[in-house]
Amino acid sequence: MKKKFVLTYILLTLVSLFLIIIDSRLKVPLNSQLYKFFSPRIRGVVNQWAECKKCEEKNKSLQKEIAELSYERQIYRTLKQENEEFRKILGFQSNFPLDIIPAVIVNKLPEMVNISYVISKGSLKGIEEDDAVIGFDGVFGKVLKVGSESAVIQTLMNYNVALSAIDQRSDVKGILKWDMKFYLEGVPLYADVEAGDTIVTSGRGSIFPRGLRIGKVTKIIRGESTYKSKIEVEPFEDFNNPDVVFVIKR
Amino acid sequence: MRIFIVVVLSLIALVLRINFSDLLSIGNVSFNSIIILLYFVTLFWNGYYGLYIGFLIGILYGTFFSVHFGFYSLVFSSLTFVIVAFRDKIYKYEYRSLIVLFIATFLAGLIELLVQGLSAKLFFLHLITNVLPESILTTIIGMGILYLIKRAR
Repeated sequence: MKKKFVLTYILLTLVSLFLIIIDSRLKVPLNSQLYKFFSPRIRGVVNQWAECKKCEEKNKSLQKEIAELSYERQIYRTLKQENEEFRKILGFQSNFPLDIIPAVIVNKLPEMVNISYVISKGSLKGIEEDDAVIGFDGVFGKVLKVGSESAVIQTLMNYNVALSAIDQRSDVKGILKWDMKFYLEGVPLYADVEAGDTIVTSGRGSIFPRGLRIGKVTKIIRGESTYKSKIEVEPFEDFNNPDVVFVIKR
Repeated sequence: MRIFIVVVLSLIALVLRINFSDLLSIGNVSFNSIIILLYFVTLFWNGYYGLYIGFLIGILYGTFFSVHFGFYSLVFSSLTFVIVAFRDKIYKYEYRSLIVLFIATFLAGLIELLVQGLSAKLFFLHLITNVLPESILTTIIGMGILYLIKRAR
């Protein structure tokens, strides 16, 4: 056996013995101190790794969604082009929005009944009062007030909102209002509306362009004393926890 | 590169020993992955690697158990020393050489039992029911690894 190897062994043995002696004199053993020090860090790394795995999965599903959206976008472009050509032929004016501005929700206004949010963009980005606001799934609301770098968004969950809407399938018109639930009012008693129909904006009025998705019909209430039916609508958009909204510039 | 492989193998052996020894056990008997690593690294690669790795694994291993810090580094580096002492007297590619692995595992178990201060009855009971079967299982797994090494050769 080599002398150097024996010396290394002796050195390591001495270090080990030294550690044992120190440890026996400490009130709190060294290993438990080290364990306390390393354990949360190691757990942190493991948690980070788990989080990373989740992100990877989310990333994969988002990539798939992007691919699907990209395909839909291409179809949409074709349809848009066709539509514009037909409009030209028929002499219609285009009503496509000029621009869409994404904005992050930074605050929720503490109102008792109506829900409003503050977004991180304002007039400096070209946002104006009464601009339409949509979410990922459907109509979100409109711009109520504008500051230079922020704006207040009034959601559809507001007693003052009256939005002209139509049944996408049958083109039946009505006024969408909120009264603890969304209702499409002013619809003729036996109009062609069925549960599951999609309600979209009608394009009447100067705020919302035509065809923005609002919600789907869940219930049709036909009153005996009136000549109008009340249509209960479940919104596509979740108004309670939004992160990002899109302001449509007129 | 070899150092990197040794470090990775050491971590794997440590994790196997600490976290998965229950899962990988047969009945109540599990194998000692750390001794296996020390044995093969020392015999087939470098005695110094075995010595340093034994010392460092001992430090890490000791943080998980309520023995004096440094105890396992002393045990593992001493076992490496024993293996190196036998190295010149055996032919490492023979299955008979695994007797050294058996002795090393048995010694490690014996020392662990000795520091626990058990009564004579319990000491011998654990020696027969735990230490001896663990040494045998470790040697059998060592045989498998040696077989793979020979095949690779």
